[in-house]
Amino acid sequence: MSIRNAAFQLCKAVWESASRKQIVDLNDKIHNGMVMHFGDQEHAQFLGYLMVNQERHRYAEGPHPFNFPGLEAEQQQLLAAAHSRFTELNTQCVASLLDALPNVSQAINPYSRYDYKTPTEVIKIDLLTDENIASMASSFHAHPQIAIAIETSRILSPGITTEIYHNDVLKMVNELEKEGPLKTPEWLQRVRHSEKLDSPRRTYIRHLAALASIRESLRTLDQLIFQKIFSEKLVVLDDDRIITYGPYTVNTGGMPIIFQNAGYALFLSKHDIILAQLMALTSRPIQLCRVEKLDPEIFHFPPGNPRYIEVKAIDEHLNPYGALIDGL
Amino acid sequence: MSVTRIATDNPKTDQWKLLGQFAYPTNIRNYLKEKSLPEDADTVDFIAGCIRQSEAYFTAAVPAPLDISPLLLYYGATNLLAGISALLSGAKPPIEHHGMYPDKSTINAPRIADFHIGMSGSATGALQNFCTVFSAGCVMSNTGTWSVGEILGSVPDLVQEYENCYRGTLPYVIPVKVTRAEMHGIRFLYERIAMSDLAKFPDPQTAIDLIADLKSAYLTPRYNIPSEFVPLYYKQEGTEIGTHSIFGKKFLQLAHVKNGKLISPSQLIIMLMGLYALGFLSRYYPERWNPFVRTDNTGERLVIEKFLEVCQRYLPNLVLNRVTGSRIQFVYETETMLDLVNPFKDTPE
Repeated sequence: MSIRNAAFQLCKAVWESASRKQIVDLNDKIHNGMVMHFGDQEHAQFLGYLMVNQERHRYAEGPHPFNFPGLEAEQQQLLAAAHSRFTELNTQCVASLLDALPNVSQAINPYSRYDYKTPTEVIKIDLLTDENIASMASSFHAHPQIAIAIETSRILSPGITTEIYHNDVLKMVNELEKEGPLKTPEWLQRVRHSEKLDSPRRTYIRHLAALASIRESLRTLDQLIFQKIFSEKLVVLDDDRIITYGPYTVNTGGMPIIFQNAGYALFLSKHDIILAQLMALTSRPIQLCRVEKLDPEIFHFPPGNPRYIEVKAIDEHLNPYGALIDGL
Repeated sequence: MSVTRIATDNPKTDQWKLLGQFAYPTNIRNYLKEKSLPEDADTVDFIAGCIRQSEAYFTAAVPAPLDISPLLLYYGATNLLAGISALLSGAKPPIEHHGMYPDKSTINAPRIADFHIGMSGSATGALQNFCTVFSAGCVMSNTGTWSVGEILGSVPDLVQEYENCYRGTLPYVIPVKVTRAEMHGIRFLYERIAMSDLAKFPDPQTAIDLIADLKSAYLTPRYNIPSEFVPLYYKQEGTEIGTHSIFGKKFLQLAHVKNGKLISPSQLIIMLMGLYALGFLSRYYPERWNPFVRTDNTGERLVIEKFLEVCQRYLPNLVLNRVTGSRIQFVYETETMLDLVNPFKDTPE
């Protein structure tokens, strides 16, 4: 089963879990609070809320202080438990890679950039059962970039530390994010056109790209599950909502769309996973995509008005970099 | 539909020059051949005769008094539509009667607007035959009766006079403004309905729900209240709906609710229905028509006269649009320079 289909099955199980309702109730309680408001901006699912809660004192400092109440102990427990299921899922999915390359653990962890002190004891919830996690991990182990990461590591010299891996992969991810979904970064184009396929530099970039892809695939998986907790269906941008398109960029799988801001699309935010009807050369597939840019970004933009979005197609391995690194 | 702009200082004459080419058998045969339609001699003569007579009736209607001008225009219209129907299909339309009938119980209603006509819906009726060709097959059978008032309220160029004369009555057309916008370098067109045009209805959604074939053309309208406009975004691969005034302003048509169905005949068919009603009254009930013509003190005469002027000018234009497949816009335009400095300045639709 493809990773994407396995993810959809996992999402179905999450929808039917008892813990989901608990989390939704909690969400309703903290819905208009500052923890949720600032937490959402971190784009880190439950970790975002936990971090903001933990770092509340920082918001109270500075030229525009914000004092707000934190989460209750029970609420923190539930969120920490949910987050720990996510991290368990991520760890299981990349178990084979971590066996081969233990130093990449931070580099491929989608939450690595966040400084959060995990509680020592976490309650267990049925949001993602051990069985579900094992099933998902079994499909994820076939991620082609895992094999590429292991294979390319053999050619590289030893001694790449956890810190180097983390810094270089994060740098690549940040640069790709900064470039946006409609352009291939210049450095990537140069590597493709000027470097031999087996040159050390190109091999290292291919290696890092594989790790970045795995990281982003896990991030996509986590985000899909997170969205499923609160909404049964993904937002769909299709002929019933799309006003016009910009050109589809084959090299990146990215496309700008102008859509009518209405319905569930009103609540879209950056990094959300949606279904979008892309305008490829000869077809108009509805594809899983990630929101890379929104304008305006604020969600309470008046309904009915046009809104600009840049999306990037996500492939069957949940990889948003699939088109970008193809043939690297 | 694409727009063809024709520079002229006399659109009434020039549109007949374009239509008049089909008064010549050679041109008719060439057209039929081009369209791979049969070139039956009788049909060719029928077409030529219809077009010539049509132009003659329209010309005669110009100086004619209101006593007889509706009838002349109705005969001109039926001839024109019959001839062009034959041209487009290569065969004489199977017409045996008007396809409409007067509701005699309404002949002596206080206002001309309250006179009703009914639709026979018969396959040999002129109206249904013309609907097939000029109104996307709009089915007029079992639609009950239509008042002259609702017919007048369905003509875009008459909206102002209609609303002034028949205060409190709602029109059956709503103007829209085609708007060009840009976001992040991506240009697109959409349309806007001014909320002030919807404000006359019980609520905006009532009017929007009546817009004929809205969903085939636009995304579901979403708007706030209060709001200045209701934006209408074109559907990808949607159809084009609506009609235009003489000067090219776009209007969306509100459907007429008839026996539980929503019916929206084209502007051309609406004009034909109006001309039938007025022609019938003037021809068969001079005791009703004559006093109206001589001594109307309500101002309704102005509306009727304007309606006839619009038909005189625009009915042939609408027929020409159907023949050419393009919206012909006659413009009074003098030659200007080619501006390469501001190539994207606002252009007419």
